[in-house]
Amino acid sequence: MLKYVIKRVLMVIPVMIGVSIIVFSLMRVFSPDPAPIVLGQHATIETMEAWRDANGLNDPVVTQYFTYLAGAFKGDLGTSYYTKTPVTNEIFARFPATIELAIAAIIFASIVGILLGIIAAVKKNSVFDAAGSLFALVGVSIPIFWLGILLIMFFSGYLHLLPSGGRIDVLLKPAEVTGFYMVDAIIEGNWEAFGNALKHIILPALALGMYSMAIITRMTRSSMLETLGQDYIRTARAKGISEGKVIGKHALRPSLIPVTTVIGLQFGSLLGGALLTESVFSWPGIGKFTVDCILKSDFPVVQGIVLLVAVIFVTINLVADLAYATLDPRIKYSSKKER
Amino acid sequence: MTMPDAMNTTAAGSSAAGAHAANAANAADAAGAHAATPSERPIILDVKGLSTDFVMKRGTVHAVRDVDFNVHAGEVLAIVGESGSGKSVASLSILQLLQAPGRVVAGEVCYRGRDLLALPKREMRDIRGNHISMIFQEPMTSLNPVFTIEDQLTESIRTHMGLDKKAASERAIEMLRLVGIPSPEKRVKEYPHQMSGGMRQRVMTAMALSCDPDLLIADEPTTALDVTIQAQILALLADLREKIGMAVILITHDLGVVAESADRVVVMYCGQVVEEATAQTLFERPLHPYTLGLLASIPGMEDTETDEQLYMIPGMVPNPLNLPPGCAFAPRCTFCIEQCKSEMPPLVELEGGRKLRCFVDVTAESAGPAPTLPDEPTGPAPTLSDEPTGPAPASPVESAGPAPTSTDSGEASA
Amino acid sequence: MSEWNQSSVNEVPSRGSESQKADETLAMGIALPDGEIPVYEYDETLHEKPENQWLEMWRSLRANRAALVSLIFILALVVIAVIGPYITPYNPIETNMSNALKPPSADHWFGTDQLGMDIFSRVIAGTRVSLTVGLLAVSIALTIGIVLGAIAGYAGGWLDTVIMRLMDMMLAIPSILLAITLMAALGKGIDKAVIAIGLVSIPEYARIVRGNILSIKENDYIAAAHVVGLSDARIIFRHVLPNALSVIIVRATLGISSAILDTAALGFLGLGVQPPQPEWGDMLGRARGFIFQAPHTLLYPGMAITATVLAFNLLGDGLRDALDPRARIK
Repeated sequence: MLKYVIKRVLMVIPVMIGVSIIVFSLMRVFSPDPAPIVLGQHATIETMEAWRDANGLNDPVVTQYFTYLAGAFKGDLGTSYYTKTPVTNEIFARFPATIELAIAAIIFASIVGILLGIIAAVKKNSVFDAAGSLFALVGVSIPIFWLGILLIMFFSGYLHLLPSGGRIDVLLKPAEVTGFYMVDAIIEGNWEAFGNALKHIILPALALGMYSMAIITRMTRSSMLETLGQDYIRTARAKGISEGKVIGKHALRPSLIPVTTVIGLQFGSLLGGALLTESVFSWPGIGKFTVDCILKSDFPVVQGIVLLVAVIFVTINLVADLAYATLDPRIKYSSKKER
Repeated sequence: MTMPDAMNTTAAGSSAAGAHAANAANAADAAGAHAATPSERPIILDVKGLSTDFVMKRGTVHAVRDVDFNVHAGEVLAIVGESGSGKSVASLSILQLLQAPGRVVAGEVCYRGRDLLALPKREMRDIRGNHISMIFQEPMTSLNPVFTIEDQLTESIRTHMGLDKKAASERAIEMLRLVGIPSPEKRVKEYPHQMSGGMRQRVMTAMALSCDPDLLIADEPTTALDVTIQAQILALLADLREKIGMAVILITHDLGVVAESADRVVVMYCGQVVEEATAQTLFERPLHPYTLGLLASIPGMEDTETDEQLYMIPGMVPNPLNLPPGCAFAPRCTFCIEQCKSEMPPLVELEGGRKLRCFVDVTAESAGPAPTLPDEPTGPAPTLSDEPTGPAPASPVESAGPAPTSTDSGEASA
Repeated sequence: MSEWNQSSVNEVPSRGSESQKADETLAMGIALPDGEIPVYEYDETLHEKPENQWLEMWRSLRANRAALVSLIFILALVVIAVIGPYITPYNPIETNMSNALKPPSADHWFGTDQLGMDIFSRVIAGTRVSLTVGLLAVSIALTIGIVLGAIAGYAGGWLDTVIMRLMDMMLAIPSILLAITLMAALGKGIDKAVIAIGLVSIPEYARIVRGNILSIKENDYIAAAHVVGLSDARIIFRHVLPNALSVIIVRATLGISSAILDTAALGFLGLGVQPPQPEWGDMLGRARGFIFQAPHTLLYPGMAITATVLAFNLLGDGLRDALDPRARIK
């Protein structure tokens, strides 16, 4: 088991290096010259040249890469072309917002998705199954940003029930400890702030999580169906235990194993979807910032963000894989002697 | 569907004991089990007119058609038949373990006087694993891979016997010891994939026996195992039968297993019972052409001397959606006569508790030429001339005693 | 008729008597071993003939009503995409500021947007963009992906490792993020968007093909083909790929739907078409500010995207069910 863990971790390293090379080449090699964009069309050639020198853009590419890499290990991801502040600062100022949104979305997606999937599988071919499947189908087909817009139209514009954007009413912002407003509010004991933050996060989490929820529902359903067809379910019934236990214990546990992998993968795609959701809901997270920086050609920032997201994504996949290995005894104990 | 009075002298005794007095009944049976021959002990399971259908898009398959049999305390009843004969479906029907699209459409399954088919779900769950247990054919896939052996064993113990965790665990270890698993205290913490097929089958058996059932239904328990392991499992079952006086329904297609372990045998073909006899008599004097065919197909020791091919019953099992009119075996039967093609032979009870579903007497001394390989059957049956209607072979029984009562086998439900 | 034996039931009949019985029955003339000849025939009308895989697939698809409706819808979309710009009631890019933000009416079925352009016409015209990008992007991804996957699977060794690590790297970044980053390097424009979305989708197809090849490589019939002297390329194309074909078709159909979603996403962010060209995502992006005053500007383009993606998803699901032999026995 330990060997498996080590093997998987080691496999990650070359991938990460490769990602950094890809991103670096995209930004430094294949992109248009940032100087005119940053300094403006009317800047003189000398100014642009000086700027390029100052920013290390005239050095050989390979040198640039290793300088960057060296800096990255020390935690220095460069400086923004525009604000001149370290990239790391820019990122970490905004990151908690995105993470909080992503976590809220995945919690919603997992809980609702798994429940719907179980119901659809157990009541196969019934109204519930058809409804669940239809719901899942629409969920994967509807664009995230449009869903967000619809939600705002209905809950905000029509029902006036929920706010249409932002993270929290400015005046209620709790003291910053973790950067997660809901957590900070609890730490502070400020229930009003908590409620307000909750109201702000519901719609974006719903929009962001819908696609993942649909996928999780489908996955759970097919996994459950496959498990329910297994011989050991028949054995469980033959033992005379209640149907609830047959499904809730004997069928559910093996079924959830592949679902955890899917949930892990979905978290990664949520980070991508956050780009769109944050735009729609004016959520001050990393997503919106990324798009802006790309449009501005603020490459150091983009580089840093993409690298960071890739690290997170790969780490989560790794954790999901390891969780799978831990949950399935057939993998966990495969090193033991098999008679 | 009424039981002929010629059978069963002690039927009344078995229906008296309520299902809840399991221990008392068990003790009585155990006492009875060692006392008399199996057929004289009380009947604990009585299946009457069981019919099960599978309703599918292409048509309805009558997997089990009007099947009767019973099981006495402590006896081993073998149900023999090839794939598709309905033997597994019948056993699943007993415990209401059928999944859609299978449905029991008729019949009664009386366990200690209660009809299992009419029981509400809760009471059925009380029976399963507790009074009647079942083990299945595929030990490799019949245990849940994500739970330990201990977990799976103690589950039924705690459900039915109400023991606490520690006591249930101890009992589980005891059961593993009973079925011959070495170092049970260690193995109980393992997962199924860490054990071999034979070991898993033993675990399944332990699981089935853990609550002291009266009856164990073993559906092809040895088919998926090596021959050597097969011998061990059968020996185990015999041993357990000795020790705890449990009855067994042994479902198999292997006549060797039947010869070794069974007291009585029921032969099934296309969802119907075609012959029933004690194991001894079945092998010495089979009466149904299908049974004859099965026995003839077994290679004997003498056959190694000759160059003859192994015998095979000609033809194939009919498509279950399109059963032949009349006797289901007729298309493949060398003794087939005109009547067989159009009329379903009823299941007739003969002397000594034998039953037979056939119009023809296959043991008649055929002075005439044996039927050669025909394209169609040659002439009348080699025996009785007073054939046309009515029950099957009359002569031996007539001379022996009272007229045989015909078990009403109803219409062919194809 | 001989007498019945009243033997003790506990006595197991010995092997000897059993085989003796077999001999007797043989002597009684049971038919010679020839398994094929039944004693008489009766009408067996239920025959199952082996069928062509593609015919079977078509039949199954036809039975799936939802998939069938989707197919028809998609065909309709293709027609609209081709002739759309010629049949629109208004010029899709003609602005008319005095007519801006009018709600749906008899004149303008979907209303007008903030620049006075007829939304209905723009939605129709946008079909061409979405379908073209979707198909092109998937085609690019398929071609490159299949080639890479085939090489990786068949060659094995270091080539396989290198290619697969490359795929892993591409998969390490969420696809939209990667697409946007590519766009940053390539520049804005719908043609760049096609390339970006296409490149991002490559790893998926590469993996499928590679997986298929790996599982087949071990099969005996490949070894047989080798022995007979077929070239590697021939083996791949004639024996291995057809197997993977069904899976690829399903994934490609579903890939079109996600390509369309990605196109709309890029358009929404302003990275796709250039104004005033009509594109569904772009339309949504520009109308965002009018969410409360003029909701109709946002409803219809979004519905168009959803309907199209839904149709491709249903078709893809239907194809998957049709091509999966297990699903046939319902």
